[in-house]
Amino acid sequence: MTDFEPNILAFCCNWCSYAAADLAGIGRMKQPTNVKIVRVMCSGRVKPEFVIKALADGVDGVLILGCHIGDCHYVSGNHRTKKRFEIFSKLLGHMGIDPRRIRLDWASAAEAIEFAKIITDFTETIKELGPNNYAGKHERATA
Amino acid sequence: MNEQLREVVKGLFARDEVEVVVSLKLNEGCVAPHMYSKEDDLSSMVHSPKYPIGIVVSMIQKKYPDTKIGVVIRGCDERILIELAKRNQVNLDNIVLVGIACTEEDAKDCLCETPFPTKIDIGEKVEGITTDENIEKISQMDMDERFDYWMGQFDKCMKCYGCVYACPTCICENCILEEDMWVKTGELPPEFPSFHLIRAYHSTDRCVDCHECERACPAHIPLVTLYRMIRKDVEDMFGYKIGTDVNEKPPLVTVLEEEG
Amino acid sequence: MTEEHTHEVVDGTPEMDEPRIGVYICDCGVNIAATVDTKAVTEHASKLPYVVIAKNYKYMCSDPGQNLIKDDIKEYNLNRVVVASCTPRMHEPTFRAAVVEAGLNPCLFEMANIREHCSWIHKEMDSATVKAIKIVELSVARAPLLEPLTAAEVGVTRVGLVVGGGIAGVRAARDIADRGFPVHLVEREPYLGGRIIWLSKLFPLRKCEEDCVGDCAPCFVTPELKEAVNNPNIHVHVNSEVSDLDGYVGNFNVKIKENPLYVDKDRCTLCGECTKVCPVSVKNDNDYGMSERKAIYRPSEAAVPVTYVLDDVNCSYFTGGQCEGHPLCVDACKFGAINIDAKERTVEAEVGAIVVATGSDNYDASQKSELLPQHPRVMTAPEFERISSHLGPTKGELLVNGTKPEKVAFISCVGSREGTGNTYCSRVCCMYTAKEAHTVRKKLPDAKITVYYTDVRTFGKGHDEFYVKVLNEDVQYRQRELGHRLEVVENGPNVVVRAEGHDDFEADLVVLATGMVPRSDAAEVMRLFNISRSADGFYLEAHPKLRPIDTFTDGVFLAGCCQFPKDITDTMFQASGAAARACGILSSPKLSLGEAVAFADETCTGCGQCVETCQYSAISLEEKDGKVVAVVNDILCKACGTCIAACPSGSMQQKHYTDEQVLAMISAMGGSSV
Repeated sequence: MTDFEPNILAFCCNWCSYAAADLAGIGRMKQPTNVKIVRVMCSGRVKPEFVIKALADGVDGVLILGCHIGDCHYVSGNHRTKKRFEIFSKLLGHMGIDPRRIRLDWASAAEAIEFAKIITDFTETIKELGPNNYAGKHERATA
Repeated sequence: MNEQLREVVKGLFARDEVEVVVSLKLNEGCVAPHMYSKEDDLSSMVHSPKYPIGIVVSMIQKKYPDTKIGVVIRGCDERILIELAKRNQVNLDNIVLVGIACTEEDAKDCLCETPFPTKIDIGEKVEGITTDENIEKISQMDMDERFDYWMGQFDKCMKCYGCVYACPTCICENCILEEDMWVKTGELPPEFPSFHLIRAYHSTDRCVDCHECERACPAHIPLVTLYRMIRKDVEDMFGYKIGTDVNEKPPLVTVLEEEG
Repeated sequence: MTEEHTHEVVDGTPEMDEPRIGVYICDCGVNIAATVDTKAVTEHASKLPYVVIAKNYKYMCSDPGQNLIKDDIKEYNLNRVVVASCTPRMHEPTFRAAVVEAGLNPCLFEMANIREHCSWIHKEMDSATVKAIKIVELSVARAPLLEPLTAAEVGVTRVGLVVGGGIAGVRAARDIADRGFPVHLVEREPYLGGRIIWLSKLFPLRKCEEDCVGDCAPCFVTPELKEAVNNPNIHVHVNSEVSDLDGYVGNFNVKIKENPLYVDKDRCTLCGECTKVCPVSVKNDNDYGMSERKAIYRPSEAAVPVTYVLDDVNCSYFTGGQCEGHPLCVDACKFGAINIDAKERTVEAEVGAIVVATGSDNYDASQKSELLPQHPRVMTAPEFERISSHLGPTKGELLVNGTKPEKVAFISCVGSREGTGNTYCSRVCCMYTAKEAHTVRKKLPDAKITVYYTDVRTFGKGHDEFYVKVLNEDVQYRQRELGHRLEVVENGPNVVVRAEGHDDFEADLVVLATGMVPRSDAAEVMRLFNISRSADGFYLEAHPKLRPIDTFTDGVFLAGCCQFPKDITDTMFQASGAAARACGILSSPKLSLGEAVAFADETCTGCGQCVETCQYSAISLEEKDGKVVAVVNDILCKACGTCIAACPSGSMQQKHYTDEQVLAMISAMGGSSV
């Protein structure tokens, strides 16, 4: 399990979490290389369907990072994100997909240390969970 | 009970409360939805079997928005109409409901929690069924067992889209489950977890527990079990009961409560 | 040029109508190249689909670096450009400008961040390079799906609207007008000036003399207000309110409901004959019931416009009393100034920017029963202002129940800084309490004065100096803990102030330093202008530090105490700031809006989930080709994309961030592992 290097996708909102990632970079805060970031304007843009698709494509874990509640650049975009992913996590659990593979968290533009910690912690979590075998378990027949 | 139904409908016509009534018609041994008008012979009107009539009402209303329509409904039909009204597919202001309570047998057949509408015109209310062995069984499982269970079920899926087309609250003209971008086309069983997880996610704030999807599924996948589990979460987390209050906005479109 | 510095790999030539991508990998000196093998990344990028050319250069953002891109666009007929370098928050505008210069639409540019998100946070070159390759793959996967976009532009109506004619609104209106823009100034009361004209003197007093030296509110405010009325660019609407508002920044449509004053201010000579014959007498709310006025009256000698006004709620012509059919005042007016038949009218105007300056209410002290607010010897500070004003019911003589008080107590923080309820500090009470204590000392040199304070906050210019001066005027300041019990109890005709840790103080006047609260109609006004409120109920600024004047609605700005309690100085700062922000819009030739707006395609079912989700009311349901579909107003859309995630059918999309583009990046994530 120690050799496993997970492939992790992070959705970051332009105003807070992406800026936090930049600030972590400026601060040279060392992080594992597993996480790749896709920038969206608001975490509210992140459809749970995107996460489903990432799991189907073999991505081992997905982070959704937005502004703290109350700090959303679009006032309440992240309210919707929170609700969507709370219920979505439950759904994953019912289907036997470990909800810990998905994490919604907040990082303000100033929270570089916190951001780096989220990246590091999440990578550790996914390492413990092991590779995403959900997509591969199906024996596929092509119609 | 059919006689009783016809009497109630006659009354609606006599008092000019409605211009037409949408119900089921028995025609040469087949039952299909039918729109009766005042002059029509009501002797063919029947209340059974269960038929999700909401989508028919939606089609009629889109063509005749100002017509006062009577609709013969069961508990699930009422929930369907409420959810459709929240999504601008029907206008409840122009609808008069004729409520039928399901029999004990009906309720058992659907494992229905609420086998009756708010207002019952015909039939006797029977208690809903609150236990679901399948849910209890899955709740006992660990993650891997659950996954294997569902994998076993979804392996049977032949992607007939029966669940999608039968669902009375699936109203999208364009279904993303038919798009290659979301679910790879030409593959069986359908891409996992995309197909069934997307469908389950889309049902979170709109599944009215009518069982039409499961009835339609030729592979007997227990879809309702999954949707029910998530319905319960929606209730617990957001205090939102699907299909009860037309003025209540679906929780996924509103802001967090504590923030006002 | 710099051939020796570039590492170049040229791929085959895809067809002309296909995407032709140029990928540029930046070394950023050693910033990237020290940790990422940029040559390997370039090599890899050159093999990706649709990539025509991939180059590596020392500093892509430098002039030679930009020229590299510009020349290649022409030479290789590129129609997409990917630069892998620093954060797009830094140099996206730079590269966008470069591709525009070479004739490409700026939205055909895509940036991959391999510095902040890669080279700077990793140590091992192998793994950092693998990650950088993946980051570039994601961008190259998205690039072919990028579409050329043009931002919507709107014109601007060069007229301002200021709501609220208090000192904040008047300042803002005058500033806007002085820059040459017409402005509508709407005030609900029949006069301008708001709360300030009912005050006596204004802290900090520049000279602590009893004689008026210019710190007297009416003396210096009234000329300010007259300036507004006389300014040809300002359309003053008193006794009026905004009844409807729609539109968007630069292009608002406003309806102003003007209620009649019944008196023509240009004819009224202030002779007062109308008042003499008026049979109706009512309590004067502006004096908190300490005086009476007639139904036709002059609100204050400080009030502007300078005219009598008629109060049709109480006038017996309207209530069916004595004047029914033949109003006495009309007969009494020798100048024909009264038009009893005047009717309300609605003025419609187009405006480009709005300043909301609707002010605050006084805290209602009746909630504090332990302080005996109804007792004749207990009054609130606003009431004290009236009895100390020479325009007030006692003509400035400090009289309580007809006698001069000898023992005066002030209690601070009434309705402010409470554990529950109003948790905020109202910011003016410490200073006005000092001023009022000083007023008592000047008018009643022998009075005993005690101030019960929790903290004394004197942060403004000249504030602490003034407070120290008052301390030296034999005014006793007694500190009390916020949570500690303090009560006022009856003691014969007088009262006693009981505070934990202090001896009882018998007083014949207690002044409660009440704070400010949001106006009772704040919620209504909030909805009208589509702005928000913070937890305290005051209007919410777009950012507490960086954008304290803006709201979340473009083109709507805040000034004065509607945003938060503040003193006159701060109010003037904010009012001038709001006017400047408004003028910024009014003077723009055109307003350019974002490109990345949402849009619904023809498959929309009209379920309206997006409409509910949109924070900006940018989406509406409209009938199109026989069915109801969602329509996005490009101008109102702020491009967050939250509505898109609410759309189950994928009919709602966001330009520049389409599902297809995001999914292409997700697909690029999968497949081969890191």
